[in-house]
Amino acid sequence: MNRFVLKRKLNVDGLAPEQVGDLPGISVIENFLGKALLVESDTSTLKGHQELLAGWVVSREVSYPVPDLETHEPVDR
Amino acid sequence: MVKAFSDFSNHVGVSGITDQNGIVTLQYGATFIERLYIYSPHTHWGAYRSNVTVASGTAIQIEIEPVDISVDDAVRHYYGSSQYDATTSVVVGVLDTGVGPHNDLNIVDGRNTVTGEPAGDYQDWNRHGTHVAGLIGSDSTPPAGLRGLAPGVALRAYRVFGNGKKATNYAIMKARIHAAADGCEILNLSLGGGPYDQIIAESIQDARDHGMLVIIAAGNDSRKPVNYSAAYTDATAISAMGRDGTFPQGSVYDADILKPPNSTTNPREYIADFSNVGPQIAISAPGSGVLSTLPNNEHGPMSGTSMAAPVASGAAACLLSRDQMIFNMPKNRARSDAIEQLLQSNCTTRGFGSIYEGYGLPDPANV
Repeated sequence: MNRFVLKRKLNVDGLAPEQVGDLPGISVIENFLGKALLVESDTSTLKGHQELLAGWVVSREVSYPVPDLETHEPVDR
Repeated sequence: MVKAFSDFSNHVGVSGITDQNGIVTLQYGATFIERLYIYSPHTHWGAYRSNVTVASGTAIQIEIEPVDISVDDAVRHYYGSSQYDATTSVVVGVLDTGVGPHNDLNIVDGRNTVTGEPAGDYQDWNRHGTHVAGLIGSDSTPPAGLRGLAPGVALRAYRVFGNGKKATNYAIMKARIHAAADGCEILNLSLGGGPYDQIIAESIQDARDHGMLVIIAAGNDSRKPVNYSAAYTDATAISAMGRDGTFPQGSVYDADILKPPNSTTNPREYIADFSNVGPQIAISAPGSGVLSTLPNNEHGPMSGTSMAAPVASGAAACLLSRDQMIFNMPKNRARSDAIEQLLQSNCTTRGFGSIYEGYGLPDPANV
């Protein structure tokens, strides 16, 4: 299972957040004001719902490293 | 911490932690040290030496200098007299590790957007976000404290880094949505890395459509291409520059100095060794050995494009505070374009070349 971020597209009809949560194999972790969802799913399952999710931008949850404060040389930043 | 490199470019070296007497023994296996770094607590400047020869079994002694916040670091050198009009209610959002507590920061509110953490917990668990915030808007003067570029500007803290964890595109997107609702004019993101991500690209675009300028650190990978998120089309990417003599000679920040390129305006200026560069760079700002606030009313130096970005944000806040026409525009794309243009048109090139500095340094004479 992977985490994905779904962001609702403006002016595009599509599934409501609750309907996304009803799709098989998709588990909603957080619904942010109906504008975005954090979900857990298999990549293949999510791809299988691609057409139904046309109203959403879908991206993997991407992480950004914590800034390194202890070392200042370039190789460690 | 002490790090000794025999071959810096290939990361070959050893490290150790000093004891209570400041002594460390390193099993080095060579007599020549290409680069030697001493990383100290924030109360001191640390030390840097290059091309050191040490006979086997012998010791060398290096003293580290305590930090005196009354010195003219690069931020105070260029912007000690910045003109911020506090009667204009500019709001700057800081998406970072949290901000504060610090008495010199006007943190009007904040929010933690990390999934699973309390929304009200937006204090800094690290130190990075507080340092960033102080460069923008610390409201004090030495020896009690430091003066940021826009002293007392309203700061909104959006904590996107979970406690001891990485930030996510989801937390950043949520922060952007809150920032628009909270009336921010400028967003500072001293973070980045990783591959292209449509969620962040669209978040920056959305921010611009809501009238906000989005200022982002270019990254600290030593002249490599500008990182995402700074590389996205609607971002204002910031490289880090510095100036010889604005921190003690022999301090760890000496390692930031890399020439060429040399400034044709002032040969003491440099683009920091660590700074990423490229055609996306919009502006260059001081980010080498600069002093700022740390949590619990402390202060200390740091380096990074993380520090250069808030200097640019502070400069943008100053310029916007004095331009009522742009400040009062409807919060849409035309407004964010106008703020961007305002900042760019008040920069001065230092002769590094556009991939290093973009439009140049926010002009101290105008900020």
